[in-house]
Amino acid sequence: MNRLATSTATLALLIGLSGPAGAQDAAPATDQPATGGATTQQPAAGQAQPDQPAAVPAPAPDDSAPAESAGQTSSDGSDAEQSPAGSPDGAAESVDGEETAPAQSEGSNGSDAPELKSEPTEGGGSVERPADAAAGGSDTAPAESGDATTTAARQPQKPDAWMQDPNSWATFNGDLKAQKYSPADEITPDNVANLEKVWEYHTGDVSDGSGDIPTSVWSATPLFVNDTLYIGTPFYKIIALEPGTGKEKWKFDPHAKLEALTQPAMKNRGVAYWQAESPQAGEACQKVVYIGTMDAKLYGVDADTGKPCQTFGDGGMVDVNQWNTVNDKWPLSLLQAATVYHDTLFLGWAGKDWTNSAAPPGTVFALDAKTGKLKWMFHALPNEVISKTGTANVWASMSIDPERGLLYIPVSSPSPNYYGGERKEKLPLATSVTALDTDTGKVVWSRQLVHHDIWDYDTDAPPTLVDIEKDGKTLPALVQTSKQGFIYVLNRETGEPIYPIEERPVPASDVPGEEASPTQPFVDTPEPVVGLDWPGVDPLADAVSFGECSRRAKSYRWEGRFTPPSLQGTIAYPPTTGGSQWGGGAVDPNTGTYVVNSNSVVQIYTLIPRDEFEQKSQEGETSGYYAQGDVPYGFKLETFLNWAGMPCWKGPYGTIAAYDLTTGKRKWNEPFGQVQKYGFYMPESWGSVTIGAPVITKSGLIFIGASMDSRVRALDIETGKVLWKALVDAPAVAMPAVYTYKGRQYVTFVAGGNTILLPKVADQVVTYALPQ
Amino acid sequence: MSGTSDISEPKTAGGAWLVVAASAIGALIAAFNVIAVGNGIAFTFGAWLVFASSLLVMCAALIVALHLALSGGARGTLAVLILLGILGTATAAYFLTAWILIIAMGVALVGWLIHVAADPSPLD
Repeated sequence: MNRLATSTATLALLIGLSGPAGAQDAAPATDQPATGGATTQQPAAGQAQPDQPAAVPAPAPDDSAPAESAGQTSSDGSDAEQSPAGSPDGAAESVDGEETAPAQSEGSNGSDAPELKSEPTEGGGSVERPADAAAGGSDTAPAESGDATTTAARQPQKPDAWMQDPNSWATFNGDLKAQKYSPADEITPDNVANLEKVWEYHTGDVSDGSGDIPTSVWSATPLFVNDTLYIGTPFYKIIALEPGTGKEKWKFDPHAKLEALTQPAMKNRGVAYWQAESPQAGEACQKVVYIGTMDAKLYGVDADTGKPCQTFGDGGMVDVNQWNTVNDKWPLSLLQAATVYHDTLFLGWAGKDWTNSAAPPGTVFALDAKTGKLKWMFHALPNEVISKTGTANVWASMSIDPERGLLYIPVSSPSPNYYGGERKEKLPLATSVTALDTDTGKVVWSRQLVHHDIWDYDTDAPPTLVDIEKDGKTLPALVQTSKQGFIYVLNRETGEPIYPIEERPVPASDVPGEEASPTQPFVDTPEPVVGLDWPGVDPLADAVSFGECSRRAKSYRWEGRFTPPSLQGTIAYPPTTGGSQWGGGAVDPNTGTYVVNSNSVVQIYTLIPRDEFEQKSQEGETSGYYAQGDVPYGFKLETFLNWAGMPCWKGPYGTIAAYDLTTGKRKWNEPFGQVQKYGFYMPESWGSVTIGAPVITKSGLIFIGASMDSRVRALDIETGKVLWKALVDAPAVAMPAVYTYKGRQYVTFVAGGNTILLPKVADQVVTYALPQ
Repeated sequence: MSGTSDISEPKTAGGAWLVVAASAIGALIAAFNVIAVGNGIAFTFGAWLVFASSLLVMCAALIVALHLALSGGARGTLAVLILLGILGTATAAYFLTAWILIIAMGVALVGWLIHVAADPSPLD
């Protein structure tokens, strides 16, 4: 039903988007206590240039460097000598089946902190690894460093057998390829309307920020593996549930610091699971579940009992912050679940890259899954620049080609986010998608998606890996969504575009000191998730504001996509909120249909000279004032709303679209979700800003939460039409897990909310299935 | 004969009483929506708003039904306000997806139509 026709000006006054989705997914900081204990409820009524070769970093005219010339100095002693960081805060008792964190001795860092040796890799990056490993003392060291960068030299790898179970949901993204696809087919377009809630569970780990604990933001997709559903909470507990009933098996509590150290909210995006190739019966920690904390601690517990693994780090904990030795402005928050492949954990981290100019440089860690020992760490920024910049980190999830042994990482922008006048050096790995050798950490190829990023266009989603049939050939593809709204389809062996990427001129900066890149990469196929021009002023919002919207629009700078931030204010479309956010898309590997949800949001980017800048507030990275360290300009980020809180731009504000990857053509594009303000649901044709991602099933369904209206939905993949929806306690900002247990297909959503979307949080895990 | 004696023996006001009944039921539904956690609108401004507007419609209709508005102008004004209240509450209920409340307001609208079209004036 189209409600647009029935909307009135009076009701329109009630409309206004909350602050939209954000850069590193942050939200305003506040504080509060957890609510009561966990409960389970059984059923209730339903509720470079174009086509540039990319075997080396894809260079831009002003922002690239030949791999060899963008040299990398060896890490000096400061990198090699690690200092412990963070204080132990674990406990040691198990009460009522709740496993608690191991006590940690003062000064222990969970590692032997061996001497590290650094060597350069492509694009100005570097790889550090323990000196003994680099010398060949470890099976993780490359035999010949150069071999890693040539596909021909790579040996085919064998996927982990336990991860191949079609009934499972074994990783954050369902599988290592981030396809977000389930072969389950019991629930179909014909019977999905009969879905019913079979159980729900409340973790008790929730905070609305009104007390001592910051607001919780919970985006943890559960894992189903080992006949158990594993969930991480925003208070960094691990909970194991019986998948058919939601009954709690065990709970592990690390007694993590519940402080907003790097993010304005307590955040978690789930847990990771590993198991030995041949688990030994009766031996502990043959199967391990991992969770990271905001203060950079990584815990490993036995998947069957929830007890800390004594062989992992220091009594079950590795302090990753021991490797935070450059521009140590904050702990390396481990919010995104690790990526697991063979016996290695791959970890990125999140920080607060909107506050400083110099900041911790982006690093990906590879740790031994059994011991927690460092295998290697990859740095995306050249050592020469890290005294004045940082990040280019990997805060979203990653994907892996298990046969090729390649790790694909979405690399974010360098700091500070919105002014690059003091980081004009070539940083080819920043804002890129990059392939690393899983054994060595060396760059195999990289493609920069934004040159000299001054828009906070972090590459923020795991690349989806899928083989597509095109022109009679089977191509190993990689599909990368982006905040800037482009969908990049690359050959994942080489990084070369399958659909063209064209370098086009873009507006120059008019800010003294800034030098924007003269060109940027554009993609026409597949069609971008949002248009190249901004949507224009919404007549209703303009009328309600007596022309405020149009007057302000005329005062801002807008010369098309990639218009640089300015002193007068620049219309940013899409802005840091996307485009597409950190969930990324899903693909049906059998048909090549790719589905992705996206946002259409307009924000205003304004640089403020330092002498005029007074930091009035910093609510998060989605709105407010940002000091940007000591560069000449502070920054103001605001969503383009009128006095009544109505969006000044035309909707829809969120859509979901399907693409045929074999042709690159969009099959359909529909408004998705509903904005809810003051309790009122706005017309469906307006759509909703979304955070989260879709999951596709073999039977032709899309399951997705993500919207502001606290609904979870099933859509027909052929048409995009909603076939089923249900109300949950808060926006379900994680993708669901779809799995089969004892012959019955289940769909589990975590409804945790995200204050960026709506000031509504919850602790609900809810599972749906067809009636038995 | 004086007007006073007519008012002391009021004519039937069936339409107005139907508005009273429907809006009273509507207010109960709206009150339930305010407190029913898990319905998506509990404790929101919108839920409170339709609760208050339902009560106002009920009160206004009660005045009409009890013939407490003596002048023609006052009765006319109340009739218009009741109509706006019914339509506004129904519209707000639509955007709250409070479907039962919409039905209640639909019944109230029928009552209003009876009131203006068929009910005799207390002064007749």
